[in-house]
Amino acid sequence: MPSTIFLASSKGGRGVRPGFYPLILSVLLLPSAGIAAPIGPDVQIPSREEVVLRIDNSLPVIPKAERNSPELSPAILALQVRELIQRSRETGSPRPLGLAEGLLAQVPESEWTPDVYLIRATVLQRLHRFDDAEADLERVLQADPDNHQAWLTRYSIALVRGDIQGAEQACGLLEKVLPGLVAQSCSAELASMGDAPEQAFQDLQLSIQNSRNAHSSERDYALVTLADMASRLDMPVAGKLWAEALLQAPDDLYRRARFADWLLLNDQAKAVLPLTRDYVAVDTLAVLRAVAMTDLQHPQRQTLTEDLQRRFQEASWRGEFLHQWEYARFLLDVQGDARAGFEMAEANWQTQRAYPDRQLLVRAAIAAGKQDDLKRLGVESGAAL
Amino acid sequence: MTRIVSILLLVLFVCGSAHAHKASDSFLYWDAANQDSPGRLDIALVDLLGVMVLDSNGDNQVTWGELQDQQSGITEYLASRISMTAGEQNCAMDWRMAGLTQHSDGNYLAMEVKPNCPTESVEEQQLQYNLFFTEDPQHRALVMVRKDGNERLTVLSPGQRSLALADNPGLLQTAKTFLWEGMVHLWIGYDHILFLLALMLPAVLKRKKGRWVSVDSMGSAVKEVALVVTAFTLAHSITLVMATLGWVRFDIAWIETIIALSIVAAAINIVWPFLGGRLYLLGFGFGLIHGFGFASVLSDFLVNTGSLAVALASFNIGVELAQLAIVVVFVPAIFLLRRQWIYQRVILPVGITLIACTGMYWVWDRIPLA
Repeated sequence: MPSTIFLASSKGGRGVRPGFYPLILSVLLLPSAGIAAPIGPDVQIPSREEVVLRIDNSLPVIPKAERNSPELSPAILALQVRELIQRSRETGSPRPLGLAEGLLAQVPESEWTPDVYLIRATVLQRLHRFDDAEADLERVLQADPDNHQAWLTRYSIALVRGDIQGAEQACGLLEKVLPGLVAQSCSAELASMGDAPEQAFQDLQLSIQNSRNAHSSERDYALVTLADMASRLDMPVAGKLWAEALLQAPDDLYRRARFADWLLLNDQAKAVLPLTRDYVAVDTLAVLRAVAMTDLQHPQRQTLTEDLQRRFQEASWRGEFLHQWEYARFLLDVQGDARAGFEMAEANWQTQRAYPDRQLLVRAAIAAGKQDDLKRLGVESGAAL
Repeated sequence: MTRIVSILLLVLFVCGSAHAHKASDSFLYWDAANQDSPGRLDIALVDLLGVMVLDSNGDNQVTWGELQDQQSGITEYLASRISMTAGEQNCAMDWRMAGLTQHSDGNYLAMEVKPNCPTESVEEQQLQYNLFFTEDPQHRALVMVRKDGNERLTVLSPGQRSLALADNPGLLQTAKTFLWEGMVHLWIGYDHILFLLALMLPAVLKRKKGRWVSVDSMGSAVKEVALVVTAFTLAHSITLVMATLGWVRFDIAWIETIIALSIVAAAINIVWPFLGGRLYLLGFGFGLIHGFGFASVLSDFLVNTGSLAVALASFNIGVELAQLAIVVVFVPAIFLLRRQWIYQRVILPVGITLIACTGMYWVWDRIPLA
């Protein structure tokens, strides 16, 4: 049929020129094409042999096939939930935390031990539900006031929320129930927010040197605290400390992210690329990589930026934004949208008030010309808290 | 030893605050215009892996073939957790594996669904979503509903498990819809137009003592028509409201027959005014019957609206506007033509005959005596 149209119109004279027919046809077909436009991303049908999912430890779920389901006693429950928290920590995925919540709901609370409440507090802490987490910790501490894990969790939650008084109380009690390097770390960390921050740093450094017999995990905790303090105090040694901390635990996403962040803020974007290369599935590290690529005008920055845009679009659709810090950083340092970056940093500030949150808020406010808003939020731009 | 284990866990707690990946989401797309499969659900393969054995040969990888072999199991699983109701009745859900798609965190299985509901009314459909909530209370369904070219986003969660697949339209939208329906119904419902024409024809040319007598002024013709149309409007408004509000019931087959009969009567009345010369009374009397006819059409649309008063008023105004449009075109035309030979000898007799014959045919066609 199209060939007939073409032949008829090729005769010339007053006929419609051949080029017009496709145009007319497309105009006629346009309404139906509009209706038929599918909703949602494209769907493909792979070949039967194509692998669509690989099952390994990097998966954020434990496959049904691998899960033996004995009757859930509180002890087994705590064990399985710990396994999920571990998987969330290793993969950086919140998915196992949801599964942990589902698992916890399978055992009635009347049967729960303080240990189960403690483990739930961790799940809630990681989901940024700090009030609920603190309520669980309160139960644990009422049943077992010497539970040092509960005091340390309470300390870290208080610190993230900017509740210095609560952090001091938790740290003070930790010193009583677990004297040693961990308690010295929290004590030095709090002291570094006061009048003599350098002195506090040196004190903890000395404590680490003098605690060669302490357990490696305690020394590791102290080292990460020291690196945190150095970053906050803007000390050049921070980079060396983060590198050392990462070497101790290369799989730990927190110290990898903090090290990358420090490098970026100290004009070492190039060093961030190898550090984040295998971690683009992790939002925090992917955003930091995108910031580095933007700084370096890297040829692949567009692909990563588009990927991140899609992730944040989905997160916005979901509405419950766990990654506000990351999104604010993305808006500010990749998209160059200071105003939107400040809004997101401010939203993040409502729940999280640790040093990186404050630092981002101040940077975004200055970039957006909103220094006055910092006063409203009770933040001093120069303070290293 | 206990202390060592505890400390290891401590470190885990404090250092594990890097955020990453995303929580469990499904993506539900709904486009009622796509009649073959209005729904599409994209399920993360990792979520499915947590509730089903997908790797049947245990080689630590899932192929598309393995997924295809699980189609009936997946379909059953979805059917047990996602349902749809239309009013009080359940709809059958016909799930079909469409293929593989990608979202920001990897591969998703795209499933298409076609609900088969006992009634056609989309507005009453409610989708109940209970996928993965037991296993993962952080799971969400991110929903996109496309309607009239607009896309609406929403989220289903353990606290919000049902989705109305069509919102009640707003008042303005209702008013616009029913105004248009009222106009369209008058224009495509030829019986009302024919009746109206039969009432208007004598306004410019009356039959007196076997002769046609034309009216002298446009003013008196308009006055006559205005009186007739107002009476007709008033009457059909009364019965339209009464019937729509359920105050009176009627048998639509007989109503349709009487409407047809009214056309025949009005046509014959032009030549032999056996019902009298007061056309407005005729308009009012038969208008009451025509109102029931409008009500029957209106009731077909009312299922879809929550604002009855707005719908009723708009529908009626729509009918009146359409009537007015006919009057505005028709009355000046017949007024100008009223003294012409061709009008008096051809157009008018043929027109009256056609109207009467059409009316009679409809009577024959509609009368519920078989």
